[in-house]
Amino acid sequence: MVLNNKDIVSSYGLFATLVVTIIGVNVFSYPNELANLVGGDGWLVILLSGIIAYILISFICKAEKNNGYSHIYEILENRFGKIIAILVGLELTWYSTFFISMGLRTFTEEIKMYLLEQTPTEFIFLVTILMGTYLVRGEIDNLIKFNEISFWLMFIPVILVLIFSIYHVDFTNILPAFNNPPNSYAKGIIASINRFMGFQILFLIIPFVKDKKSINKVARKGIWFVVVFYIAVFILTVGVFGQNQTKILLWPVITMVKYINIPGSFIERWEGIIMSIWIIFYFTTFTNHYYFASDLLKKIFKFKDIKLSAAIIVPFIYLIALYPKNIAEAYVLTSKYSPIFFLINLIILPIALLLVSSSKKGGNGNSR
Amino acid sequence: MRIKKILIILTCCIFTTGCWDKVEIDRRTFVSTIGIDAGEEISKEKELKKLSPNEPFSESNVKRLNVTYGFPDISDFGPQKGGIAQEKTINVDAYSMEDAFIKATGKNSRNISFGHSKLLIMSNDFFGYPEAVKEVLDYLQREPSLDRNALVVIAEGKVEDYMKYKPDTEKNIQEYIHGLIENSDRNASIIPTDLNEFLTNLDENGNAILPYLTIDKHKNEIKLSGTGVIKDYTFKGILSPTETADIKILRGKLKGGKKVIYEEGHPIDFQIDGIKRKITMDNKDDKLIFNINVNMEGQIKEYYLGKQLLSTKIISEIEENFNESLKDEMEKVVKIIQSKYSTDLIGLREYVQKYDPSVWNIVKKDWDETYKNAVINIYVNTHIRRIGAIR
Repeated sequence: MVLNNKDIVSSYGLFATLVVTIIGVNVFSYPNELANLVGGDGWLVILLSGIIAYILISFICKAEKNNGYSHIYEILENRFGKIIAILVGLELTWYSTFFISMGLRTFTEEIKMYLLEQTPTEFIFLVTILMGTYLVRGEIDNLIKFNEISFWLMFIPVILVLIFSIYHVDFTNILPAFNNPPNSYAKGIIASINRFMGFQILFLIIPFVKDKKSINKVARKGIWFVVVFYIAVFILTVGVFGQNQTKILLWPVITMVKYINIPGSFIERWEGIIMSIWIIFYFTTFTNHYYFASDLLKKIFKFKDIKLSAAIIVPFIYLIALYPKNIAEAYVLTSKYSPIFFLINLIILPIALLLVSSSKKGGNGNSR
Repeated sequence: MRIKKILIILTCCIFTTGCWDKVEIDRRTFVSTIGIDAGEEISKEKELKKLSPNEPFSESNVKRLNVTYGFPDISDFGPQKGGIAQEKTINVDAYSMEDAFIKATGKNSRNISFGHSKLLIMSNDFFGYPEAVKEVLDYLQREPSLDRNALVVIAEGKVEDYMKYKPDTEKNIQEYIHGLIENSDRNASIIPTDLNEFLTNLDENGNAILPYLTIDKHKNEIKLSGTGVIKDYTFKGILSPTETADIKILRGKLKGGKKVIYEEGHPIDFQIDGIKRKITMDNKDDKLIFNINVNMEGQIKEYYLGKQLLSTKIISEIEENFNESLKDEMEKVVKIIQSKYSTDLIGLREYVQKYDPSVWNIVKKDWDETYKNAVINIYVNTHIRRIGAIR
C-alpha cells in the first residue's frame, strides 16, 4: 500500500472537501421542499438532520479507525469477503453515478432557464463531464487542492449576497413555530437528510488525512458549517418570500438572488454572477462524487490507473442524465430512489462496518 | 508540441463559446414597462370554458388581453447623446401573455428582453376578471426572466394612454412613476409595492393594495392618488390618500410623512420621522379584540408666529391632541375597511397566523366573518422630539 503512506490531505483540505461535496446544486431547491413539508419549521428539521448526519459521520470515522485507515474496498473485502465487497462497491459506485447524473440534469435545466437558453442540453452535459474527467485524471491531490480553492471562491460571494438579501427579509415569516403534527417532522427529516448526502466522500479521503487524530473534530466542524449555511439560506428565503410563495417556487434561492436590490445600487441583475458561482457549486459536488466512483471502480476491477475507470463511467453519466423525459421526471426519480440509496449506503453500511469491526477487533485489520 | 497543444485549445474556443446564445446588444429591445389591460373579448370566458383540452385549432384569435410593451428607443443613444431615451410602445391583442409576447415579436425587428422591466401597469377593468388575472399572475411568476423588483400599479381607464403619456420632468413614463414612488419616503399616501410583495400579500393575506394612477386628459396630467384595493383577484375600490397614509401607519411601514391638527384655526404640521407599531390580541366570547399600539416620533414643522413652542406643557398638549385626533381618524378608517371592503389590509390575519396558531386554526374557516366582527382598538402615542430653529 504505497498510497496509504502518502498522507497528503491537511485538516483544511478535509473540511473543504466535506463541505463542497455536501453543498451542491440541491441548496437552491431545499427551502421549497422544506416549506412544503413543515412550513416555517424547516430550520429545526435541518438542525435535526444535521445531527443525524453527524452521528453517521462519526460511525464512518470510527469504522475507518478500527480498520487501520485503509481503503473502503479493502475493508469490505477483509470483513465481508470478496463477493459482498464487489457488490457493495459496485452499488456505491452506482449511487454516486446516479446522484451526479440526476444533479447534472437538474443543473442543466436550471442553467438553460436562466443563463443559456438556446444551448443544447447535450452540449452542457458534454462540457461538464469532460471538465470533470480532466480533473479526476489529475489524481486525488489535485482534487483536494481544487476543493480547497473553490471553497473560498464559492462561499465569499455567496455569503456576501446573503448578507445583502437581509434588507428585504421579514424574519417573522418563519412563525408560527412548532405548529406541525409530529409525523410531518419525521417526513421532513427523511426527505431532508438526503441533502446531506455526500459524506461518503470520507471513505475516500480519510485514509489520506495527515492528522488522523483530528478527523472527527474537523468533520464535526464541516457538518456544522453545512447546517448553519442551510439554515441561513432557508430562513432568508422564507423571510423574503413568505411561506406560501416558497412553497411554489422551484428554486427559491435563485429567485431570491434575482430579487436582491442593494439600496443605492451600483450593480443590478446579480444572477449572472451568482449563476457562474453556482456552476462551481455543482462542479465540486460532481467531481468529488465522480472521483469517488472512479476510485472504487478502479479497486474493484484492479485497474492500474484511475484514468481508465473514469473513462468507463463517462457514458453512464451521460445516459442516465439524458434518461428523464422532463424536469418533473428527474425530480420524481431523485425523490424516489435517493432515500433508499441513502438508507443502504449511508446508514446501514457505516453501522455494519462499525459493528463488524468492533466485534473482530485485532483480527484481520491489524495483521496487515 | 507545446504550440500544437495551444493551437488546439485556441480552436476549441472558437467552436465552443456561446454560439447558441449570442445576441448582439443592438439587436435587443429592453422592455421597461408592461401594461396589461382587459381585451375586447375578455368576457367570453364561458365560451372558452366549453373548449376541451384536446380541441384542435385552439389558437384561435380571442382578444382577451390587450398588452402594451414600453421600451426606451435605443437608437436614441449615441456617443454624443447621453441620458434617458424616449419611450416607444408596442400594443397587441392576445389571448394570453405568452401569445402577446409572440405577437409583439412579430411587430418588432429586435429581440424582446424582459430582464430590465421595471414597471407593471394593470388597468382596473382588468381586475374585474379574476380568471384572467390568475392566468397573468401565473405567467408573471413562471417567466424566469421577469424581474420581481418591478413596481406594480393600477391605472384607471386604458393603460395605453398612460404609456403614451409624455411627462414634463422625465423623458418616459417608467422613470416618472418610478420617481414618484421612490419619493414616497416623504409622501405618506403612496405604498410602493413591487411584484414580489404583491404576490406575497395575495398569498399570505388574500388581498393586496396597489398605488392607483389616474389621468386627467384636459390638464394632461398623471397623478398617483391613493391606493386600489384588490381582494380575491378582483378590484374592490379606492382608498383616499389620507386613508392610505393611515393604513401605512397601521402596517408599521411608514418611513416619513405628515399629519396635521388645527389649533384656533391655525394648522400645526407634524412631520413623522419614525414609527413603531405593536399588535396584541385578546379572544373574548368568540370575538377577537385587537389592540394596535402606534408609537410615532417626529418634529413640528409649522406653528404660528408670536407663539412659543419651547415648553414641555405646550408640547405635551399638542401631543395629546395628535393622539386623540389620530386615534379617531384611524379607527374610522379601519371601520370603513372592515365594513365596506371586508379586507384585512393591516395584516391582522398574518398576525393571528404567526403568533397565535391555535386561534387561527379555529377561525380560519370563516376568517372573513371573524374579521368583520373583530374589535380593533387603536392607541396612538406621539412624541415630538424637535421643534425647528425658533422657540
